[in-house]
Amino acid sequence: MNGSSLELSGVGWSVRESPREDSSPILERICLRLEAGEWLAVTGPSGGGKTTLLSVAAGLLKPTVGEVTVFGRQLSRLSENELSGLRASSFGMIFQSFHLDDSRNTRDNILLPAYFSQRPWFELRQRAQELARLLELEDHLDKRVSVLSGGQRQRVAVARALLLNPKLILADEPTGALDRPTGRLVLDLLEKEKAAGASLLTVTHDPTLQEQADRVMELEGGHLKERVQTP
Amino acid sequence: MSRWRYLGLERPRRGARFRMRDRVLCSLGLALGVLFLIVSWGLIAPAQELVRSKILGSLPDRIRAAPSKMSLGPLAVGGEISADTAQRAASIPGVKAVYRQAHFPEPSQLHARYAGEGLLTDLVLEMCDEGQVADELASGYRFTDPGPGKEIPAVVPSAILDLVNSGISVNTKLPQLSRDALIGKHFTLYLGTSSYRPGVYRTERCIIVGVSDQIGAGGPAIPYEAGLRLSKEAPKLHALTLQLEDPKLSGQVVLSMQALGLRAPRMEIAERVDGIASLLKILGLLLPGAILMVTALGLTSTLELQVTRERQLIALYRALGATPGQTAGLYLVRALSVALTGFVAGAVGAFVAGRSLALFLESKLSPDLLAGVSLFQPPLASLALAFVFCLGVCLLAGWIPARQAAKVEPAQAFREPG
Repeated sequence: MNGSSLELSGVGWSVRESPREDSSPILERICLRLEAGEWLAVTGPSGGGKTTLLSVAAGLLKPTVGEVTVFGRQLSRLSENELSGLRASSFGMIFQSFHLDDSRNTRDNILLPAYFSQRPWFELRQRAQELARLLELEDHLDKRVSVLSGGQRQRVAVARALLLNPKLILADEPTGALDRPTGRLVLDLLEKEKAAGASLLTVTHDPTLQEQADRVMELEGGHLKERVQTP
Repeated sequence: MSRWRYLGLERPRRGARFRMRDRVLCSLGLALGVLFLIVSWGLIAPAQELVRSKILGSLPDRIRAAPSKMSLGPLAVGGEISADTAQRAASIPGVKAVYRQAHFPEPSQLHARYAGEGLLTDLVLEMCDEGQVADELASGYRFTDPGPGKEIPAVVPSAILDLVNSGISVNTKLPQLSRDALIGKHFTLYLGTSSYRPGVYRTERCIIVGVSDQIGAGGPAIPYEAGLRLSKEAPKLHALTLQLEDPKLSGQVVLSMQALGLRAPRMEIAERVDGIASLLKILGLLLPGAILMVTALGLTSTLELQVTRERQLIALYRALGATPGQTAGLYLVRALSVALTGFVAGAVGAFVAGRSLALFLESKLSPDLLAGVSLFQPPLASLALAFVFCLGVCLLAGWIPARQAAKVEPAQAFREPG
């Protein structure tokens, strides 16, 4: 164990329109190292591959070249079941478009990861209740998520990602649909997770979030560059 | 049990993705298949048993032997059993006793009164040894020749009683004839005459002393010795009843009988009944089988459609840590829930429908004909078969959609329009 939570070594990913055409690269030779307890924000123009970067880091997309290592384990060497186990035990994912189950209520949506976890159900129900309180969703726990506003839905997605106290949080625009006060709630919660030892890789355009991160990198044209934080 | 916790995602709830309408439609198809299977087998089994018992009689240690048929083209003519054959049959290993049965050699008629009406009919008068009907005589009566000028004991075939009762129930409102009502009643025999061969006759008074399923479906039987005394011609022996030391020896005894030129016609018919019952059971499988197949196709299509509609949800589950096997399992559980619902609904429906049908039929048939047998007795095998069918069909139907679900690529599904 070398202390890094996530390491991308020369990772590239390209989409092939058809077998005969040349593939167009989305990510090119990305090298990235995220230490335990570190918060890295990735910014960049739309369509620059930020979401793809998160998908590759989560093992949802296989890189066409390079290697992704999570907590010392090379994802390419893991079976589908091992990869699923790693996601269930260590990853917390916040999606840009939330991906909530509209047929369920808020509580059930927050509890979704619990169905794939071995941890005691009662404990996770309490954790869900606590997250709902911190994100001011307590009054909406029994409502179907389909009737919630965009901001509320985003907070449900955040609560769901944090349910299992993940060691690696991969967040795609976690404050994108939030106003300043509720965005603050989310950032405070993420900060709390970081303080508890979690590493965060967030994709964002939100300057407040970028300020809170330890490092900011910019993804443009498939290349990732370090951005120097100005005081 | 947290290993199986993911199955809780399929807990029935309002707004669940496997909608009630789809579930009910698929389950209904299965329930129909199960219903047909259990009802058909449940009716065939007791009918088979009833027919067998009517053919073979109520005494399992008896074999009825008849002469081998002589065939002339399409005609089969019954033969005669010699006294020598009867003696040799008695020496077959495993045979305890041999009872003779013959037709009274002269034309005869029966006169009796029933419900205030007189009845005169031609009949085939049987003669048999006492041992053949001894087990079915009413208490206090014997079946021996009483000698000249005395009432002759007679036994009525139960098949005739069933036939007469069926005629009574269909054509009249008269009370049914029962065994107890017949015992001790009298009738008069007119010997030497009949409607087709009128002649000089003499009369004999008879008393009914029993109802038996051991004397075939001809007319009433009188003691063999009484028949010999009353007839002017020698009777022709047409059947023997072999009483066995052990009913298990029947197969072996039948083989020895064949060597003597004798057949066991009742056993042959019983075997045919078994064959017909087996055929009916197979036919009873065809319709449910077809229904189950159609349901399986419907279920596969429904689940495939659901997989297509739920690709983003499947992707979410995968992103949250579901293995491909678990996502497949969710769809197999849906198929399984249809199997269980269909089986339970079909089985309950089959018991209600089968029992109602049986009660209706039982109300129309004579209790003596049914001999206390319920007309709906589904064998355990039909329930087991229906369950295995449901389970197998649904697992097969769920297999293809489950595989499709397991192959969903999360990142690709997330990019598709929701």
